[in-house]
Amino acid sequence: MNPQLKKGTLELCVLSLLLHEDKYGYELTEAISREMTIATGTLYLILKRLKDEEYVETYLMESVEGPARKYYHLTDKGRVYQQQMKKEWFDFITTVNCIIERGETNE
Amino acid sequence: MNRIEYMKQLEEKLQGFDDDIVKEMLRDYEEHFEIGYAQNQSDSEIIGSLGSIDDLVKEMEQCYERHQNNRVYVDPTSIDSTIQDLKEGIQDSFQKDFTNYSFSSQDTPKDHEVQRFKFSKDIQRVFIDGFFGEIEVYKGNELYLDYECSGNKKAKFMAPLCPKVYDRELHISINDLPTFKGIMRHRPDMHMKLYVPKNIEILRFDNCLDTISIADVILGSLQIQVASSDVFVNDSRLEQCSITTSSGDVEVLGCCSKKMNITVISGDITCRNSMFEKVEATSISGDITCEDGHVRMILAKSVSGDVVVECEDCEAYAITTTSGDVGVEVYRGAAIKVSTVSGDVEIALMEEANGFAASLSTKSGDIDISYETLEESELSSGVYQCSKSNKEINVKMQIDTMSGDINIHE
Repeated sequence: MNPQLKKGTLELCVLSLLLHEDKYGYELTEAISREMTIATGTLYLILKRLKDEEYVETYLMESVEGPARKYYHLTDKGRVYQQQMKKEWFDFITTVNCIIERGETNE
Repeated sequence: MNRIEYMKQLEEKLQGFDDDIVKEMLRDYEEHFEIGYAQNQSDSEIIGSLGSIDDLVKEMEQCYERHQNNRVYVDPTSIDSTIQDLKEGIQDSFQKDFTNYSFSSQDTPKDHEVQRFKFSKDIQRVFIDGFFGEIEVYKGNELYLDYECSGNKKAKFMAPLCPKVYDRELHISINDLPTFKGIMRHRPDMHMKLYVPKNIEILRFDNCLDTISIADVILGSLQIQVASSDVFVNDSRLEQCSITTSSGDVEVLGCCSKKMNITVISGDITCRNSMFEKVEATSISGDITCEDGHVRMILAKSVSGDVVVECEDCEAYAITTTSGDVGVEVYRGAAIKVSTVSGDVEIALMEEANGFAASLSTKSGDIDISYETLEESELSSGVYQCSKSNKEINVKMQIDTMSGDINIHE
């Protein structure tokens, strides 16, 4: 899968995963790497960026398995951003798909 | 390499990157090990799944710039810039104005487009599966159809009509582009006008959502299996016909067929002015009406709908209802069997009739039998006189009611 594509969409993926449930770093990595091989490093960079832009908030929660975990929570601003990004994404792939279909059926 | 070595190397090589990020990564990598141990994995297995530290660093560096030995964090690619880059790339390779095909978030204006599809003369069977709009079927010299789709560009692209021909069969359906199942919010308004020539053996509709009107066609077999559509069949000649709809009404006017089989759940069935050898009409809560025309045999079953049959030439009536009323006008010698639980039964034996065998039963309804021409009647089975020709008319009646009344009168 095109690495450029992956990187660009990783942000949208992360935001979408946080829609219903707060998650911590490891959880997010796992969820995404189930679907595709991701760049772990980039993920953390994205998480930092999202936090800087206030699309996510973090909080610490005690964990049995070791030191306290940092949880990511989607803010309202982040929700709006996710919606916008999602729409942009679908509009884009609709367009591309139609061009492909047209190209293939030689219209 | 073991855990301690790996984590030490990781910490070293991540030096210079953002403190927050590094702290979190280290913490999460430790968690990876913990979870791995819980799954009985070895250090090397876990390290294998974590991947190479050098690759990780290289990848992160792509997002950083070096500023005086400090790594300054640069935005990793966001979706905006990805899309922008891809758009530019595509624009170049297609050499067409990308905007021609791009669908902005605002709807493009709706426009009307009619596509005509023509098909070969060899086709004998036509199957239409899953059409969301109204369908009209007419007689044609050849097999062709007009597909009208009004919706904005996006909607139309999402639902192209896909006719496929296999051997002598034509299959028509709407192709939901697979990527868009589930996110397709705007189905376009569709309309299909299908023209069928005489030699079509089978015309079959499945899973259609809107009204189906068929006029003036000659077909071998018409089969309709839909959920909520109304079905109208006019002036057509069919060898056999089978219509099933859940909540739609079925109206058959001026048609001719050997076998007519109609099943509805809550719609009404109306057969008028038609010629059938045998009609089988089943409805749960809809009414069944069969009038005028010539029908030789009718089987009507309804649970709560009323059944009215007024056809000449009908020789055999088998009508069953649970709570619906039954009204039958009999024009000739016939075998009548009516059975209802709580409905009323009304039989009118008309002039031309020359004999009946009737078996009527109801539990709590009333039975009403009237004779148009007979002078005398007796409240039991027997012989009845007809005034017109003084012929004897044989009538055999078996009437059962539990709590209802029986009226037999002139």
